[in-house]
Amino acid sequence: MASLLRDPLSHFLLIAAALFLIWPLISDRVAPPPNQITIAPPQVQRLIAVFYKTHLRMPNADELSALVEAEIRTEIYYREGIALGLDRDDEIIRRRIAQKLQFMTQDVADRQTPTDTDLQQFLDTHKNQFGAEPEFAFSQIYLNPDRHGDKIAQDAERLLIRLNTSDGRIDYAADSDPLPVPNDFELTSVDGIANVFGEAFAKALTELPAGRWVGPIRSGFGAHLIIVRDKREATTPQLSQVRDAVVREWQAARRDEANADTYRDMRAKYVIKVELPPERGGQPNEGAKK
Amino acid sequence: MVRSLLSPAARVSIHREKGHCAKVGILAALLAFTAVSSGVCADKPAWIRTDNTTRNAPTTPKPSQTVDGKPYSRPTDKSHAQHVFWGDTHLHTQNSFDAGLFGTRLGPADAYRFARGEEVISSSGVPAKLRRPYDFLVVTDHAEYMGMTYSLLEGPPELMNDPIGKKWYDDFHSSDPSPLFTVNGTDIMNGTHTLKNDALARSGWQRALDAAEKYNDPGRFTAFIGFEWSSTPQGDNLHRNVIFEDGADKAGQVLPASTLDSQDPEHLWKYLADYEKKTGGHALAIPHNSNLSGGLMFADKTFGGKPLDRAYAEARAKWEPVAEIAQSKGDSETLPMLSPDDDFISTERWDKTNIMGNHIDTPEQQPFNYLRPALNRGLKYEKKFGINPFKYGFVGGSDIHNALSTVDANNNFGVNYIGEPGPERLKVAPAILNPETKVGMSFVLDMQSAGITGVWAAENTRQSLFEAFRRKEVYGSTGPRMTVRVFAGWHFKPEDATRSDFADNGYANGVPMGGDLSGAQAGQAPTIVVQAAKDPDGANLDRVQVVKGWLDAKGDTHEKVYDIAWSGDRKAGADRKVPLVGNTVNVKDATYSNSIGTATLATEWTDPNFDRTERAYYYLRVIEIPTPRWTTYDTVRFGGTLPDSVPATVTQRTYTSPIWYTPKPAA
Repeated sequence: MASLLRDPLSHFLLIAAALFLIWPLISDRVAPPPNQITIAPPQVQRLIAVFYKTHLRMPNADELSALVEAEIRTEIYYREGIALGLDRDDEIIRRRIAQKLQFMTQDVADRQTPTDTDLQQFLDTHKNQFGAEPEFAFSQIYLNPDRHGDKIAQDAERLLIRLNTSDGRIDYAADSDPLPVPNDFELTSVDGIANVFGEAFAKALTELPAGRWVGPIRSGFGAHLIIVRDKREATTPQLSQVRDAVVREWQAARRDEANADTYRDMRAKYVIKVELPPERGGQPNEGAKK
Repeated sequence: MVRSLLSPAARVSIHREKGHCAKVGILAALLAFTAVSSGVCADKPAWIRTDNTTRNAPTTPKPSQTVDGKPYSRPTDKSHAQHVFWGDTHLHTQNSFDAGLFGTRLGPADAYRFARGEEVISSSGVPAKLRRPYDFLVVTDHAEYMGMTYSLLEGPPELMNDPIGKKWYDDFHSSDPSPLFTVNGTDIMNGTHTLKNDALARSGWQRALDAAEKYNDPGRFTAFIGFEWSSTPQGDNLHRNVIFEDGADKAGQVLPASTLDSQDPEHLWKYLADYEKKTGGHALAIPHNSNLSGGLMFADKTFGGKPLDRAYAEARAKWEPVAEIAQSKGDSETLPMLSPDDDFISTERWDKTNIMGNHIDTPEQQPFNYLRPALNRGLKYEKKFGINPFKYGFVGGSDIHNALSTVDANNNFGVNYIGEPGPERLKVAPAILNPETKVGMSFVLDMQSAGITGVWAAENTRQSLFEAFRRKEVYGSTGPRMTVRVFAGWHFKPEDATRSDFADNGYANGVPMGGDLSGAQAGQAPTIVVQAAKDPDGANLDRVQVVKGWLDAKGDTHEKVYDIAWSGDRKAGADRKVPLVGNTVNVKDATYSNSIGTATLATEWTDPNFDRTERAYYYLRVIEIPTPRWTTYDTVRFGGTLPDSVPATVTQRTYTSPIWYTPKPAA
């Protein structure tokens, strides 16, 4: 722990934190002298507001001047404390500063506005996220293994021949065993099919030829004869059709990336050494504190 | 997404013709499907068309659905529920104060993204993606101090200018934020409001509204607006989840009801009534964890201590159509001490104390903590008042607090930050013992990987799903996505259970789960037809059971569990109970085999002990074969020894909403 605090990471955080905390004081001056303390109007307003909340009246001149003096005193003690490095071994300050910087650097992407080019690129590389999955229209006849037993392959074969040679009429009541899912599916996404029949079935179905009864294909329920009636290849929707969704996902992706980048960049500035205590029994943290 | 079960008449013509968008639209309405292709108009030929205008269209179901005896008068879809939609009615994110304090760093937007199948990075830094996305999600963050940890991280002026807010900020950023846990706990237990700040409350609610609006995608994914009202008087759980049918234009006109304003459920119902009056919108409340209510949830007196009366029964029946029967903190169906003849009561029980663990349940309190005894007593109240205050359908919810709803035992992402996957989670999580009672449950180990709700609806929209909740055409599962369809009526025949137009026939001649039967003729008895299918990627089914409760002429209630369908050639014993299905779980490898049980069960059952003068209800329980508990999967995945405080195997199950019988038509 102590070695971590000696490394440059804490110094960087310190600088960032100091910048953050002091920024209101210096924001209207590009480079104020290091020993200058400015109490700006927003700060005074905050002091007054806090006073008002407690006393339910405005402070008089003396009171206000006392408030400002207290603020200056805090600032001076703060700066001197920093100069002495008092923050370094303080876990509370360390954590608070780290959290603050994390908070500042996160979610920045939410505020960015993507261009059409950004969005088009994102759409091209994330087609599946925007309803462009391949879709299949099909019908299925269910054969329950408990009902057909050993004859299931035979029964399936016989039924297949009849289905493919008759006039296309289907009698689900006679041929399909009871299952509380539909026999006929219009164009349905592979995910949608997987939700009803399971993943293995959905995958198998995507590879079937269209236009004739085939099978049996296995699902979690048993065996199925299938006819794929229509197939829509995965297409990229027009940006105009899915713009809101793309903006949403673009921002989410940017945010994750930005958060990761920020941390990676910062981390790249450091040489990090982790020295684990020698392996031995006893308490997990024994030795870590030295 | 899924087009389905056309009635035979409508299925006739399957032929090729040029695609016409208008016809796709008609077909869509007719079949009541939604989604993908209805929004994409194809220029190329489509394959399935029906000439529905000249032939008999599928019978529009007659209004067999009633809510408390009255026809449900809200606008209904053109066709009945064709498809079961799956989702979670109960999920917390960082927007909940407790979850934020526990370390959850994913918000409502992340929760919706994850539920609809996108990858997110969990609070503990692990990429997570749901294998099978949900159809809908309700994010139900606690109303009390909603969004507080966002404010505590950011330190906005409205927080920092408030002396209490400033203190909370300091506590939060200290190495020991436990004072915040304490103040949140005591405020919720005592109904006190330590930090009252409308601006902060509004910003938390706005975050919830924005996320739901952003991710709601009619036809594809429903993002409901909701919150949890967390009344916990003296540590007893009276929590309710509130779901809005509406968008932010209406739900944004109010702030969530908070127990810091009142702990009385009647206050919440008034809030809901006021909301509907003010906005013209619709909302409902779902009680949960009655098992942790210290005997309060289904008590025979009001929160104020008065006996129940008709007005109370009316309000409760109106605003609370369904209750949560399965969730991570146990099932709330019943207990062995309450239902001694029932061999299949869930082993996932939190039955020792109230939710805060600060008092131990007495045997006298238990009947008021569970749904089955509440349904029983509801029959008595209905006889007395003409309306049943405990007329609950069933849902499942996860109550997960890390924004990631996962309910599969072999894919359990944990209920909170400390419970996220890793080799440590089984070790670091002993029971938290309450200092007063010395009793407690582990918020990791004792959590079950549950639950989830199946909704029978015409389409995947807020309106269509909400209406299904109102009419109780919903069911709760401990995790597996079993498809269960049930109808009750007077004229069903054995062959009706296996017809291919099962649903059309069911709606035409009976009522679905959540419905009402009344006024049996002499010699008649209710007949139930059911079709159940296993989770396509899960374990086989063991059996289907009917749970019947009834009120006799003397005013006593009774209950009985009937095995009505089961796998294999097992024979019921003299006690009419079907022997156990067996157990294929290999605990050492965390595996099971579908060599026992069956994929589907379908049957017809007529009540053998029916008395047409007695009030009754019937609900179904569908039981899976035994499978490994999530802790068993964890032991294999991460190594270590099996915890001995929890069972190694479980029987996952589904509870359908009941169907009620009343001797004469309700007033």
